[in-house]
Amino acid sequence: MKLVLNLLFSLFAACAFAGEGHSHDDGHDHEKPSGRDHMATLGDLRLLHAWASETEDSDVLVYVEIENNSGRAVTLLGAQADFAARTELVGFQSQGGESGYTRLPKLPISAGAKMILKPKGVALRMVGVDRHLHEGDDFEFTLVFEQGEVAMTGQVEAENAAQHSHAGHNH
Amino acid sequence: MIETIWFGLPILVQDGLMLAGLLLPLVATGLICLTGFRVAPLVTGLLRKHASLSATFVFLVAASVGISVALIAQERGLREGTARAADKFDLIVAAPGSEITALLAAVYLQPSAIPLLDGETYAQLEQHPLVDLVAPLAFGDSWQGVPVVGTTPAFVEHLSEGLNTGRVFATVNEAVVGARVALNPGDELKPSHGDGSKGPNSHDHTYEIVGKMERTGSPWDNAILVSVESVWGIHGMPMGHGPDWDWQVGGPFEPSEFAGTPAALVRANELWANYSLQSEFNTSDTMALFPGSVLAQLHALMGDIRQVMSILAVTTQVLVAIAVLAGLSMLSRILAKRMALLRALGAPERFVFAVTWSFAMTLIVTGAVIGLLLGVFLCFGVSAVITSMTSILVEARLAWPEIHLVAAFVSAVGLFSLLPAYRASRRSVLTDLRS
Amino acid sequence: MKLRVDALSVESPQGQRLLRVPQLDLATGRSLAIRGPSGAGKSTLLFTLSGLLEVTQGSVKWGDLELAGLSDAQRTRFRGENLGLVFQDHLLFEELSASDNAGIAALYSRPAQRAAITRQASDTLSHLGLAADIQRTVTSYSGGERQRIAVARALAAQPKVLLADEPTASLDRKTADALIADLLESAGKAKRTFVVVSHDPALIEACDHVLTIEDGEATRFD
Repeated sequence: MKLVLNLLFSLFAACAFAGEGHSHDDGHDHEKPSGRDHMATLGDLRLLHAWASETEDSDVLVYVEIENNSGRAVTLLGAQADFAARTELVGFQSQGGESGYTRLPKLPISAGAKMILKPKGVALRMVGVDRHLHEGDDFEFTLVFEQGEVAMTGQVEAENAAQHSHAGHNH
Repeated sequence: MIETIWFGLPILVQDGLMLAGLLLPLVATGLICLTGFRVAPLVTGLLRKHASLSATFVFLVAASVGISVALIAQERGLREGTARAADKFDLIVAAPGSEITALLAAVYLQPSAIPLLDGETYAQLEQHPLVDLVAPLAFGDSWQGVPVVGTTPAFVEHLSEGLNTGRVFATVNEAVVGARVALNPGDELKPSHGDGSKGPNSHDHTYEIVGKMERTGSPWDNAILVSVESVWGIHGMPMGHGPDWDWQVGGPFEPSEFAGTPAALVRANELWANYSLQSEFNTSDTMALFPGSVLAQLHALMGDIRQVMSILAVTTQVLVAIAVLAGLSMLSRILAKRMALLRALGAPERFVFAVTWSFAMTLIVTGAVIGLLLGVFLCFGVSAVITSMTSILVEARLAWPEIHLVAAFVSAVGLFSLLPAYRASRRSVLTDLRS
Repeated sequence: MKLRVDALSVESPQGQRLLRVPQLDLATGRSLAIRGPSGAGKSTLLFTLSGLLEVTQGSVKWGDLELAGLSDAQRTRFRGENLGLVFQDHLLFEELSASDNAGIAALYSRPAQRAAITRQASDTLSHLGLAADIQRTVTSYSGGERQRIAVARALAAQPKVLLADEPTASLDRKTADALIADLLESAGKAKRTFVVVSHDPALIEACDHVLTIEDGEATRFD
């Protein structure tokens, strides 16, 4: 009886342990054995939840949350990725009833501000992608700031996703 | 490879090629059926003989095509009109709350009670190096149902880009009206509190109209713009300036004397600067939104509705096509004796087939063309009604998507019409001759 | 074009015997009247000779062409190229003009033949006294005039054979006589073989030969 209770208790503890994987603040390595990293840092810059929608297009829009916790403004210039011919920083614009994404030369993020790249807003456009992105895939890319570069891993969400599946989670 | 070539072509060429592709089955069928024959005299004669039946078919096809294309074009016109109405509003900064409420209030003048932006925040915007223009949008009053909005002369110049008549207001007693307001320079008005729906509640202040704006194609055509200082003054609030104020209206404002505004329009010179400002002022204390983006999200939300409308439009046309084909099958019985006579005289089966098919196609193509014209008129009419009701300039026009839809419809029905034509050519000659 | 019929038998799709003609020979350019009581099978014979009815057994040869065994399309083509047909009720396209009716074959003939057919139709209409205002729709013409338009239609492609089913049935005597004269004259001039079903004694009298059909059997040939 005591052995059964101990076994049951261990099972419950193991479940609780797995369910609280999100509250660890050193990334998700133990939660996701594949090595997905939803967060990256560059000094006091925190980058979270990079994602893109599943697509078969050759141009892909990538989004990410940028928190500037440093005491000074930083400037996002763009990104780089091995699986794309080039990457552009773009912003959504609506004019004269027509809308689309326009290239941006840079994006200053003031001290203390949070910049959320999202659909119909600012995005990183990967042009000439050499593979189709399927939901659940990961992709590696590097964000380029005036102040430096930071590599991170993005996650491919569903085709009609409006945000990262973990958006809103405070890591 | 083919994709690369295709997407490298100009859009007009793509649309033209797609139209050609959609009509190709019909043209090919027509050439195969009609080569070597002259069907026109017989088809014309049949149309005259069965004029009312023919007119009924044509009307059915025209009505379904007209309504379908008008529906789709109107939805697009509405979407583009609402987006165009937001063109002048690069960035809106307001107190935290609902983006859609702020959008409806600031851009479409559908105000609701929203908290005010304070003087400190406004001063930050005024002094920000990236900001090219900032203007308060203080709504709440009205005149005979027309919103009276407190703002700055700079906003009027930005919105109208030169007035139609007169000049921009320069004092607290002057106002400028939108293009569709039934007032002109020299007229006077007394604003009321609120939107006027709760009965007359006039303020004791008179404005003189000094200018009339150009058409903007937005609800601002139906608005009265006054100095924000006068709105504050009317409501017994500090008027935005210090004791040394020379009564010249417009910014910069004294933060401690700034009575608050529900929203402010902000404009930077560059798109990237707008986005930078948006991230900076989107905090727990303030909300910064791009009307264009919020609208695009709303439109995307309505995307499903648009799909349903497209399906409805196509379904309508398919149903009418089925009705027309069923009618043509009956018609082939009415035409049976004539077709039998032709075969008795020695006309080949293919000629009878050609006559029947050409007769059907004449009805369908005529109906489709009339339907397109009807769609154009419907678009004009409905757009005019929506524009007059909302002041949003809606200009629905038929475009390539509608033309492609009609071409696909005509081609599909043309191919389906082969069946009644085939059956007409296979009937028993003597039985029909003797009937 | 000469006609030869051997042991002809025509049955309905249900197997009922409609007509039997043991033998019939008609030389090129000669005329044959088919007579007999109503329902005897006269029109059945005419329709079989024209290829509108299929031969069940036996042979029907126009020149060297055997009709028996031909497909529907082949018989239609034969009719178009060789026969002119005049029906009892003239059977015109009401919505077309006299000239369009007469020249209807031009609509489906080879382009090279169109002009000739149209010209011949116009000439025949003129010859039959219908030159004036032949663009009017046929609804405005009298019965006799419509029958003449039907004759012009039958002759427009200059067929080798003219088949007519009771062409004078609905005409008064004077009009009927005029039509008979026209028919025989055109047949004679063009050496056109002419077969006509008729109750009209004057028409029967005017033909070279008479075939009597009674109760589905060809009983007498004079």
